Amino acid sequence: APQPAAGSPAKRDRSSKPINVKADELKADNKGKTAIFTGRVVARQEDVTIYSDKLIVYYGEKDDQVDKIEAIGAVRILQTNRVGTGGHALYESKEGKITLSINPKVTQEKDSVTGKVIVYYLDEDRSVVTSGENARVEAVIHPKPGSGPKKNDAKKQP
Amino acid sequence: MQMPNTRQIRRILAVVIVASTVALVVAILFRQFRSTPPETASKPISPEVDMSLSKLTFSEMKGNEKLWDLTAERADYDKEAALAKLTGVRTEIYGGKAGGVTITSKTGSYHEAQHLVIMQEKVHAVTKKGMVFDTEQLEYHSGPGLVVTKRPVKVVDGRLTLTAQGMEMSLHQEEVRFRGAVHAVIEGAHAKR
Repeated sequence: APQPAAGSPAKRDRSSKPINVKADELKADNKGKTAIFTGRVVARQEDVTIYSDKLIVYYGEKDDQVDKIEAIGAVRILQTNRVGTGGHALYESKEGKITLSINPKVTQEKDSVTGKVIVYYLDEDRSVVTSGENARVEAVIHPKPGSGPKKNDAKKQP
Repeated sequence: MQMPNTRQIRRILAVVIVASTVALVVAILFRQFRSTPPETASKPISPEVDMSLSKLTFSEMKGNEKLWDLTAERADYDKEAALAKLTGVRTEIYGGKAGGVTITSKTGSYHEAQHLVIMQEKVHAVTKKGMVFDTEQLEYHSGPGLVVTKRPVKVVDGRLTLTAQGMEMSLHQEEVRFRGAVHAVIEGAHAKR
């Protein structure tokens, strides 16, 4: 599996941060240890905001900690200048990553990438895209202005 | 001195008897009117209340399993409507997968026919598993084992704190449904609970 680039910020465990959720309805199932929010769901944890039709919070066995969060239906994830969209997302706050599927797409300013599954690392400026049968990886990268070869570089040809 | 003859004696006796009878009747009537009115109850009971009780307990059993106990500081019972209006209410609901719940409130009512307890004003409830909720009105339907409110409710359950516009808790299923503008905060892993 691809290793994070050297010097990139270490992965942060966000599970100690509170999660704010707004929705039309909530069903709390103490036995199943889940809280199911439905209807115009907005969930926010620090700089990450998730919009979806439905959101399921899974509590872990130990001490009611949040194990993972599943977003279903019209999923949109905002984090500073990155936007992730798809039909389904799994947010694991301990690992600081979100796995997007069902027509996933991640856009950062003008650049975008699509594929079958996209794993989006919250504290690293990177995503890992895997293709599928009829979902090849496709990336659209716009070179930054002034990042191309400079004029005098061209003159110095040996 | 000439002794009065028997006719005069009889006349005197008759006068004395009549006078004492009249005096007796007057005394009775006088006491009747002068006697203090019966001691009125502390709060005048409204006409539809057949019976007013204080410090009472209702219980509902199913076979020999007690479903719930309801205690009230005071209950005004209307037999016709089969309804008791309560003040200082505490309902202890036993069993169910939620393990039971204790609900207190300032006022409430018990509707016998529908097996329905309504709790009102400063309703505070705590389940055996530690979930706490507060609202202004709540209904307990003992038949289906449902605790329902359509009013704003605030809930604290472990790491989850939330407000909503309505709630339906199934005591048998250990499930709670909240409606209308739910706003929840799930505390992080190391936050104090």
